[in-house]
Amino acid sequence: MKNNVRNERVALKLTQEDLAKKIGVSRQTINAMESNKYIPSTVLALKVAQVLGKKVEELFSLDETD
Amino acid sequence: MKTRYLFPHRFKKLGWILLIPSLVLGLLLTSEMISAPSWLDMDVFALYDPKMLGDEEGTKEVFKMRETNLADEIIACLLIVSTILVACSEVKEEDEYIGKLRLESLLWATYVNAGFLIFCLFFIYGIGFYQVMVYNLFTLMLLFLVRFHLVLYKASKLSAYEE
Repeated sequence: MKNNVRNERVALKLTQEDLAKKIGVSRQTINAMESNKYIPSTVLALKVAQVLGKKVEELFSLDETD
Repeated sequence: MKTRYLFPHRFKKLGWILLIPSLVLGLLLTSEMISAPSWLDMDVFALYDPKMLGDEEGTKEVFKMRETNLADEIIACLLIVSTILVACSEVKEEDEYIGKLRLESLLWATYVNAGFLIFCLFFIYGIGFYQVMVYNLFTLMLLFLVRFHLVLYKASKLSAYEE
């Protein structure tokens, strides 16, 4: 699964730490998610989308391996 | 979603406070660099206590009283409790990704521990194997602790760098 969380976060001038605090997760989680090392749960994906003001489908998309 | 069945974060510190001295004492005791204090010699109730080489024939094996030094029992108990507390307490920012790292570390530790055991089965014999079994009571949790904290440390270093 691909995502463009990093781009959207940077566009809002948020650091990983800021985003992590707003969502209530660790900074490591945001980092792992942005580097495609971790696929978030539905709840976490919805929270990220809410904070970044986007739809989940705009942030996350399937790739060839899925 | 957070991992269930974890202790609150404050128990982690208590775990470390118990783990470090009991690990040092356990290693010193098993390597015979210190001896168990004699005031811990006492009569205990044994459910099962088969005779060892050199014991008299006909010694009762079940439901009997026997004398033992409780130092190793106490240290083993402290090690089990403290490794559980350190390993199974929430980290400061426990979340679903940390839960994944925790589970993967436990899997890794289980595989490495199994490999270590298979190696010892074929290459260590006699009383040496008994010693390995004693260490093996704690190696799974200790391997897990090392691996989990290493992975956590790496993840925090990486995320700090990639702000």
